Amino acid sequence: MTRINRFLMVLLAIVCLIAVLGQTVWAGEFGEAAGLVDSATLISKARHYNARIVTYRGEVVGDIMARDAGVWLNINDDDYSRQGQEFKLAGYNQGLSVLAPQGTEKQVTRAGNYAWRGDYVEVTGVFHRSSPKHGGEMFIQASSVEVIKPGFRLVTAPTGKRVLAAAVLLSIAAALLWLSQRMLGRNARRPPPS
Amino acid sequence: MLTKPKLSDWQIIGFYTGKIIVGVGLMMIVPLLVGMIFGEWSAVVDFVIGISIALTVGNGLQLICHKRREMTWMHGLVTAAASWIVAMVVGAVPHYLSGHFGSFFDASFDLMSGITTTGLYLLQDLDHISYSMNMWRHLLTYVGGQGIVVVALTFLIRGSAGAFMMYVGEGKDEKLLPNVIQTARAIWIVSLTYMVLGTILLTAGNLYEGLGFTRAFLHGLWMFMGSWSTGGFAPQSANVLYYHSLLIELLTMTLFIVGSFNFALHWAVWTGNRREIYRNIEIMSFATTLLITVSLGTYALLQVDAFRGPVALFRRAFFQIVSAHTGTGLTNMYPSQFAEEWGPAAMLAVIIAMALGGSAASTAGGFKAMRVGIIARSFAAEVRRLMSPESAVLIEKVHHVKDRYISDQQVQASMMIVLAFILIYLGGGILGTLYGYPFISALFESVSAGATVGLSVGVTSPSMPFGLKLYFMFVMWIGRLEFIAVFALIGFLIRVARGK
Repeated sequence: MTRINRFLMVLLAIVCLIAVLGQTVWAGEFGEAAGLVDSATLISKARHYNARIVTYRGEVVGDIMARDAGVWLNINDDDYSRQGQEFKLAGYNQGLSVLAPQGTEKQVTRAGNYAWRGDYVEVTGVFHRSSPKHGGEMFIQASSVEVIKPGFRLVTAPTGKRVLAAAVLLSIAAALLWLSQRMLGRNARRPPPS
Repeated sequence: MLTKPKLSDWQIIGFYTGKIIVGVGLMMIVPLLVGMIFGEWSAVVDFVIGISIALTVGNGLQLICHKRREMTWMHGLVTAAASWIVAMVVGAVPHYLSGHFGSFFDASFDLMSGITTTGLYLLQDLDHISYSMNMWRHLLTYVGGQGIVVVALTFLIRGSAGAFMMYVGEGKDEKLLPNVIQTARAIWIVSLTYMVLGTILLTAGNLYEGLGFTRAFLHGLWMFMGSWSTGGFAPQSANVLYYHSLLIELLTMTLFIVGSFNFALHWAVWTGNRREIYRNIEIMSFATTLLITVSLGTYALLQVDAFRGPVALFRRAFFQIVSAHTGTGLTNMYPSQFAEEWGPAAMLAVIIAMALGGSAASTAGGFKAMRVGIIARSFAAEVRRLMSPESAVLIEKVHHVKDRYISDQQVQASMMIVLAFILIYLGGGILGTLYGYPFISALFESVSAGATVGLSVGVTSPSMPFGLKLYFMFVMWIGRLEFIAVFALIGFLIRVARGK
């Protein structure tokens, strides 16, 4: 067997292995409603909440991705999602993916980023621990999305003190750059020591 | 007897470290321009401060330390190791000023993670950082993948006899072309070509998945940088999961697999030797160990009923394990899912994949496929030797660009490095356990840091104990530089402290 064939055989073996071992398709029954749940609880107790109707609240961040299957939203329910203009460090972001019905992009218009706090929304829908239809993804298939608080612009202007510090440091850097160019250039023209 | 380093030793190391720091400062111009384009004036001021400090330190060092003397191996290795530390501190200034870190130490952690292409981070509220900061994070990981010394060699250092020593000190020993400066430029030609191609494809993918043009382009560029450099950084906290897209997963996976290949292999293919892909020992070794770890992981995941259906297994299990094996760390799952859903056996498969790593002289970390291949071949040779007549002479060879005979010295060197990696992996596992984390989670995180992968089960966080943060920073650095340069720096410092 040539090396090329051996290489292709290994690749083929990987593909076959995944296909054979993963033949069974998973079907979940929709269970009873679970009420308002946060993302940390849903992820850590995913088996418990799987296929149950949940209510989830948080800030829409990033992009509102409208597709044929619906509108994908990334919704954070961390401390930042509830902060106003004053920014306070509160650890990592924490959130969950939501697949909202088509047309949601007309209702939810502002996603959070550097300059904006996104729309704060309430989502009701079925939680999926690992949906075979969506490549094993964990998410909420929303039946309704309601904007509770519209997004708002965040103040991100630099302080006067910082601008002054930048100006002083830049001046020092420029002076040193000029000096180093002059001195190193002069030294470079000298013959090396014997 | 140990001798104290002379003033001229300090001057040579300081001079070249200064050049590399100037390079870091010049790199900050890219995020500065991004900030100006998008009107992020607060971030612009932070980058002006960062550039000023980098140029002041870099030019200051060059002025103080200017000395026309040839570099020795010791100088080259110490410069490579020291410049990564100084680059970490200087590069962390805009990070810290952004207000998204609990301390300057945390900001330095992210810098070390970025330039070593690890991908673990302590940045808080990633989903609300500026475009310029995201550009800086991803640029660091992209440049770190090629090596900051490679950047300096390409643009700032010309014709130095010590260039090759610094290049080796950064964990690369392949000379694609006879001259090391030309080699550094060849690495950049390959990387920049892939950047153009990868960014176009990912931008198109993002547009197809519903992102607006500007964000599709920026995310495309950043995801390229995070994938190709096997860095694992992504512009949003949900990482690849953010896109909910098989297309983006396939594109990023292709890029990080290709990115984990040896630059010598890229160069061979680039110059027309396409058959090298099928013959190279590293590709054979990588494909074999990938098959083993994917089999183990898939079996374990089916036992715990984590995913069902071939598509789900491919998109979650295969993606994670390839990401782990190539040292990338991109993920399309929530970190706590590893512990909650995968279970210890599947986590072990990921740990093994991370520990093994990608190719030598690539952007990946870990044992490296070349060493695994050499050790496996030497084991096989030993078995054959036992079964052969005593008078038989057995010679083992591997194919890497050309056929190479395996010497006992090479086998010994490979085993030494692999042993050193195992020690740093276990060290973090034990330390994490002492801090109260479950051993399997601590080991997972330790291997992830030491092999510069970046996958996390949730141990790495801003609230992680200081000792563990420090240990992870150390192993990212030593793992990326592959020990030798760091040992040279430690030896230099011992000479400073105890020499006469």
